[in-house]
Amino acid sequence: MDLVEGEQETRTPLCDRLMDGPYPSHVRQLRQSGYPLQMLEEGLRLNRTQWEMGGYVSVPPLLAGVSVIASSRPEIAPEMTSLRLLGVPGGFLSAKLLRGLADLADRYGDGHLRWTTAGSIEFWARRERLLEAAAAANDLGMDVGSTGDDVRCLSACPGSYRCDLALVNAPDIAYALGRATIDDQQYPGLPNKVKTGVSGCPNDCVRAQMQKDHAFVGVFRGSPRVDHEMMAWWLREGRGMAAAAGTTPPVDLEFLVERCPASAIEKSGDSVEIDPALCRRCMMCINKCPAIRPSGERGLAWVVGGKYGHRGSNGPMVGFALASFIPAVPPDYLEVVEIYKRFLDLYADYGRRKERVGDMVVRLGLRTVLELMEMEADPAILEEPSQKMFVVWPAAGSAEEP
Amino acid sequence: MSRKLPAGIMPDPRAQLPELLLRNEGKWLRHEGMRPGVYRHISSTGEQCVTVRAQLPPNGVLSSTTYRRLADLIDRYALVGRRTSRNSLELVGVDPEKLDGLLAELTDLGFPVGGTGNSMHQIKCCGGFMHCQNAAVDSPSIAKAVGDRLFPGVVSQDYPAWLKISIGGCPNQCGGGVEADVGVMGVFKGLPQVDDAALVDARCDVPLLCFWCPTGALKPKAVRGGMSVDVNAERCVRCTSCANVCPAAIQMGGPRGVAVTVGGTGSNTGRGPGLARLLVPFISLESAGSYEPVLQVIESVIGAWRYEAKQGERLGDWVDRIGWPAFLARVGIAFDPNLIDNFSPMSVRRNLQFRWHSPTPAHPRREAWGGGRTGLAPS
Repeated sequence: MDLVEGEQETRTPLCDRLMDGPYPSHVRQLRQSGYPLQMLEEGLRLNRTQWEMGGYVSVPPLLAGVSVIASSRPEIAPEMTSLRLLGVPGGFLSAKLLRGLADLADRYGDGHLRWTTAGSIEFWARRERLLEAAAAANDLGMDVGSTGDDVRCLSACPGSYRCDLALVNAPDIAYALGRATIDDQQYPGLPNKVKTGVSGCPNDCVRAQMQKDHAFVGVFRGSPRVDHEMMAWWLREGRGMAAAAGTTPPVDLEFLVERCPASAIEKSGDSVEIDPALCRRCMMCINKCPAIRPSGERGLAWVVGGKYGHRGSNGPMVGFALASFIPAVPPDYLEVVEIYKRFLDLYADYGRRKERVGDMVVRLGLRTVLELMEMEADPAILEEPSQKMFVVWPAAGSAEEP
Repeated sequence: MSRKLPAGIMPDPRAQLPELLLRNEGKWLRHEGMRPGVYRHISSTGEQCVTVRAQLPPNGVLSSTTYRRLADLIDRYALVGRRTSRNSLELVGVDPEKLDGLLAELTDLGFPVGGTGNSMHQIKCCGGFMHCQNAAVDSPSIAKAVGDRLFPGVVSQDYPAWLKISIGGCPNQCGGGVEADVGVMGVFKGLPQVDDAALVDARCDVPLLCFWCPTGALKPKAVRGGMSVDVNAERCVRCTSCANVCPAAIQMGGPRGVAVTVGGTGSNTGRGPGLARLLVPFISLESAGSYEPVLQVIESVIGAWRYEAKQGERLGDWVDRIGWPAFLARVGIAFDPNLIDNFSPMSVRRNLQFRWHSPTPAHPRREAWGGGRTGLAPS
């Protein structure tokens, strides 16, 4: 382990071991900052985190965006105060923004930053300078929030700005949702966090269906369309070029036929035909072959209830697709924003304290959620009908009885 | 201070975007790999956009010095940077003429280029002992150990399909795990320790505490000055929900270790999104830094998958195809009855389509993938 210029020198043998090896090292980064490396060293030595009880706190007028964690080793570091910034939908970071963030971390904190796993940006900030730091972030076009029981980590894939597979402009949609619910990101007032994501297509690179409580995913209504002329080019040159570059093994027509989960693809001469009645629009063939592209109307599916955490009554869950197609109309995406906000209201009204969205919708019943949302149940969302004859009919004499 | 705080600014993606991406929005036709970690998008306007993906340290921790160096790289070689959803970094709009120079500089910075296509993608992980009070294990150092061991998989693309590994320090899984091909999750083996007096002092909401327990393991009881809870050792699954609701009075205790899960998928391709399944419920980690038993399990799983899976078959798809009994035998891990979910009846068969497995064939490459070396082999 050799220190490079600007790295602190401390007695941290266990941390130092984490600077060797070919994989990028977090210790090397921490060493270039003022992070109290002895805290991590002691944690590793005792096999127990040296941070203690902590949480998100309000520092008026900032009701969200600040977290404080206590230390069990005040002689090394008395506490850790972090400021969290809302991420940029799509994850794009210009050189100017990177420099601005570096200045923030140097001026108000200890000179290191981290990305949370859902895309917000966090840095240590000294307690007495939090408000100054927040104002300085504003000058970069950034703002604080996304901690505690509020709308969190509104993230998106690069969408149609940089992806040929994107069916919708995910960053713009996330931006529209974010502007419409900026208060919900900065003032915690919901039963628990509501992680939100927008993915441009069913490949769902932001894990909207699994990591996010409340999400939208781009979908297409037509079937994959095969461009036979381009298929001929792809078989002749395209796939070979990629294989020669050592990036993808050559994929051929048999691969497409065999890997289709719906058996919707059949070989036809020097190309393939896709049966639209069987196709599940899963994106497999589209991902593998540029001669197959989505067709038809594009919009968004609405998914609620995903979460990773092994907490709450249901533990980790994949979200439920409650609407198969919502029109995505730029520039304001009004219909999407409206559903997004209406469901936040429903969660605020019906969620129990600290109950995540997924646990709430399971408790209420998915049909009930659709009724409360005043949305018509859509047969496309049905995986299979109920196996039980349990139906709650309207009580005799009630307003709903026909 | 006269400024309004919070200012109510939602960060605008368009403010970050270069002209190339703005004018080609919705016009990209296809993309193709150029070499591991490098790919390009081709637009109907004839323009192209080259992207280089660099692997970053666990948890996306970077110094301000590194931020400035990356900004300089963007200025000299590319148009914009991008954080991917797994916390790797992409340089977008790279000048293809200068590609070699950029790759060399990124490697010098300690950020190898790779993690695209059929390779090991960026290992996702939470803050662990670095930043978090809840962590059972130090996930970043596990991520580093796994990354070092499987490093050739990052910079080449010779896996059957892509491989995503996520590491969470505790059952809250901020680092992920359930969505990944291989997940590692920190586990506390001991029961939550409840300090009755502290619980009363903290004015902890006891009904909320009981409501949060997923298995009904908490039972309210009257204690001096108020209410507390008893933990039913027969039902507690160590999910940490209660310790999270009332950290002042409830602490997780006992030995710490990790669980390993396999076969999670997030995308809709193939069988669609699905949670990973439990493979090893507990591997004891007596001291931080000795991760060999975890590495051996992961190596064994990946080795067997690489050898047996079909082209394009993700880990979970392969396990589904061969069946769990055969999978356990392939990777040399004994069946543990804890793999049966005792809180939902869904993990036991309701048909008789058993997947008996024949003994693992002795294969010359078995040693290479570590089959039977896990220390968890059937005796």
